[in-house]
Amino acid sequence: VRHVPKTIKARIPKGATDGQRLRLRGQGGKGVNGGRDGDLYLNIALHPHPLFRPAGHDLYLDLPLAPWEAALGATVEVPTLDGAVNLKIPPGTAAGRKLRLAKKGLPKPGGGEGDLYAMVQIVNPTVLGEREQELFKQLAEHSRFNPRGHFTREKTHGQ
Amino acid sequence: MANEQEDAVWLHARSRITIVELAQFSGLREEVLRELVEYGALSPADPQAPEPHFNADRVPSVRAAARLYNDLELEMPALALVLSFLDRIEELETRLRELKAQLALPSR
Repeated sequence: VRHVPKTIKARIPKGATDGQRLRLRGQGGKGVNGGRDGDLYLNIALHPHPLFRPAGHDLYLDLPLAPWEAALGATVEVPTLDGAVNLKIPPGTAAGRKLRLAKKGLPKPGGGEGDLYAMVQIVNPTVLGEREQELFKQLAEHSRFNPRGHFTREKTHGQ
Repeated sequence: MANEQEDAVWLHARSRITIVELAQFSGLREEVLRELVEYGALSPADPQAPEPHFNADRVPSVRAAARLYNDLELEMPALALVLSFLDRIEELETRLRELKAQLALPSR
């Protein structure tokens, strides 16, 4: 048996995603003694996208929010595969929360689409203007919010 | 398979193949496949159906197990074990891909 590498052109049907397998009929080795030609199996690896990360046919997108957008609620523009959509952020949205945009994922082979999940990140400005600094100081003075309340609760449990 | 006439076919969990097709695609004889079902290493899509059908996404691991079975002349219990390990690896890789996708990139 001689192995000869060859390059073929394959049409990829709708429904591709990372890690999926495609079977190409008759594109494998030549059949012997009148046997049919073998099939060629392709392992699909999607080239990483700067914004969307596939999980099956669902997509994940990081959604950075300013602290005031997350606290007060906002409507923000979110990119999807078929153009930007407006997404409503409810007031008091926590970091790590998943907001689901139904049917904005990848098309599935049997029909239908996966979903798009926007994963909330809360990002604060790294450089503050004078007025911003003033406002944050005011907030610090007036807020009773303690993000580390559970530290002290856990400590009393451990003792 | 529903789209058998197509030249390129996705091997995904929602498309079903017969035991004859699985034998043809994997290179394992039908009776070996039936034995694997008996061992519990290969589960038909619908265990109640009189004639076993399989999810098409089973083809790659059964093919890989078939190659080892033929090359290393494995006994049936070893083949069943190999197949269950290959399935486990596949399952873990899928899970890993899902978790990686959910992992937020450091914010910019």
